Amino acid sequence: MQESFDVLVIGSGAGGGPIACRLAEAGLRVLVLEKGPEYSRAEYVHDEIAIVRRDFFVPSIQDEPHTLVWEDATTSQKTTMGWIACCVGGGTVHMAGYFYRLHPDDFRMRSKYGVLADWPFPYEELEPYYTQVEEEIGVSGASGQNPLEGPRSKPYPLPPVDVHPFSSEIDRSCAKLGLHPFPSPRAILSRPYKGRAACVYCDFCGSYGCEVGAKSSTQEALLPRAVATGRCEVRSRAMVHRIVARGGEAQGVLYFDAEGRERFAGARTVVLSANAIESARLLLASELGGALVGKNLQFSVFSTGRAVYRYAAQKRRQSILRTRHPFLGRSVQDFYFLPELPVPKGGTIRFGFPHANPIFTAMRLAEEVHPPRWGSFLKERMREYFHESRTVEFETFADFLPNPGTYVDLDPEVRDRWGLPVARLHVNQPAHHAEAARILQARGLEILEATEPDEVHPGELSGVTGHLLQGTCRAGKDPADSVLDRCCRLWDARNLYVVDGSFMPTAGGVPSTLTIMANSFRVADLIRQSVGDNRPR
Amino acid sequence: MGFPLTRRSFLNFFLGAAAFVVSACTAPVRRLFGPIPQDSRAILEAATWRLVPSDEHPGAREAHVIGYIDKALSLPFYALAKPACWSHRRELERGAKLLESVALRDWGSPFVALASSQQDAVLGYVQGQDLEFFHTLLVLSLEGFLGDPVHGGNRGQAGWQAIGYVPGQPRPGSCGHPAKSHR
Repeated sequence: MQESFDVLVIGSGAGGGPIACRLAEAGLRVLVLEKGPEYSRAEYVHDEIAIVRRDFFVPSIQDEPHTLVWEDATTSQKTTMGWIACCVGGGTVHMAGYFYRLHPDDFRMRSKYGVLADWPFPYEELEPYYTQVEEEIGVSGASGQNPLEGPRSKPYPLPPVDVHPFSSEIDRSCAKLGLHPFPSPRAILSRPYKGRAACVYCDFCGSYGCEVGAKSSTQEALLPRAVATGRCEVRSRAMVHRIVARGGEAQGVLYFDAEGRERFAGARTVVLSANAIESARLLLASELGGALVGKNLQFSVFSTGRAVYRYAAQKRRQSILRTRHPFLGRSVQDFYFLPELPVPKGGTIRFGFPHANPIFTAMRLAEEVHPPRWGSFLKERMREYFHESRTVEFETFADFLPNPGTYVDLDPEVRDRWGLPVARLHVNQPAHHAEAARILQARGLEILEATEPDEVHPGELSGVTGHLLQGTCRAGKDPADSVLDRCCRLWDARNLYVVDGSFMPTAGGVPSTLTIMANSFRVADLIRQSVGDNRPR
Repeated sequence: MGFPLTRRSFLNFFLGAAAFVVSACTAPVRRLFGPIPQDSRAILEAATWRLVPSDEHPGAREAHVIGYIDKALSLPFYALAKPACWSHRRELERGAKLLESVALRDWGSPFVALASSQQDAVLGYVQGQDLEFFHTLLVLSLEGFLGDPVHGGNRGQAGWQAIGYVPGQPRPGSCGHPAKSHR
């Protein structure tokens, strides 16, 4: 049986959710095809083993590997790197939800600084959509404290989430150094909002689904609205394996349903949002988009550091330190730009507490020394960590620079459980990454030092996070150097759009989730203008 | 994506540990999972009792860590934090044999018959000889000690109590649905 819709959306996460909602509410008939299952809130338990350690949200490496060619390696290895989440809601279900906007200069790095690439539209065009996301899904924050923030048409709809009293120590330390800390904006409800409950501060935010619906995932905040129109179906366990196109026009998609049967769904407009790696993979497999598909893959560069405060030594602040609260909630963007570097970009420093997961913590404590500690030494160290001290951490986000050595192609040999060629990642890190990460880490450590801890330790340097994926279907003004036009529409298929992080010419020094959602709303408006609303049925 | 460092370090561990990753195993998976083989079991159980000892607080013995390991290895496609995950059962068998041979060589007794301090000495030596096995056993022991009891270890929450840890709610089973893989 042939099905036909106005719009097909591939993927239900940060890119797919907003556009499905907006177009269904505009009167179009929308089918969302999501590869993963649909989980219920009841399944969002805080079980470290099942959820974090056993592939609850991401495919297992046996079923659906990626392969990875890391820097100078001559062979590839199977990896789970580059999966965010396969479920209705995608990565927004288990994200920690740090929702920073990009800076206006992130859109014009080439024209202003002569490096990287310009976006085909400015911050000012995306700004109203940033505001729409913040208002419609519920983002908690406060503006006016960060001198690096771009212009805002409206304040945040919700005040910042409640934070640990030690946040005032971070504020004081930053003031001493002439820096400007601000509340980390969160896609978490600090108050009941639009019929959803507020955060209960369970301490198991990142990596886990939210059992009360306070995390502003597309599953909680947007897809129900889309479905409530009566014009949108979210079909889970549907693996799209080919976009069918003829004569420069997408006709629809072939997908495997939950029973493994191949089906076809047709549409006037197809919107792809499977994450920058998987969308590139699908376009490559469908032979669409041209030679630049998969190029300019960008992740995010991170470094970390931590400070330890021993209760016995910190008499004056012992009561503050002993307080249990999941959120420290402070970020610093004074080093978002680093004019001393050839690419003058730094990034964001975000202060918080280590994750509460005990097994992860135990392994980390074991591996603090080499060879790793075990036995009574480890048990003692764990008790000391949990009961005799407080640890504060920071992580930094810096631009991953697009470069010829970092891209996605199809693996010539490895297949997934459907027999399809998997995405092969090639990763190369320009020298900028280590420099920017080193500088941001040093600044973060200075801020922690100024809080008078008992110990300060640098952590990882120049790590790459596989959760933040950008760049592989670059949007631009010229088809010679881009895959998508300024509307995020393929140059060589004028009814096919890509709205996950693939479109981003630069990644910026912040997680890209909010930007992806805002652009998805923007592209929805462009599609509405192009195809018209409220088609009579 | 911000914290958790859990996932990011978790993933970064792959890349850092790329040098140690066993090349893709070509043996059929079905032969490689199932409970711990009997002749290795007593040795591995004794080893877990040393990796997480009982002192003034419970240890792997009270928490029944070996029960967790049995159950985990019986899952088809059990996945630890590394790609070649179907090699764990083989690693453990290999490691058990190594523990036994070192125990006999250095102390003239089977591993299970040694005093605790002697077992610790053997384990310390084996940690240097077979990094992969030791790491696997340590991770499995900590999972069995600190994971939710539905997975077969942390019996009576002994592990959580030992470190004074308050588990996250909701726990699996508390809402009628043990968390399960999407597979």
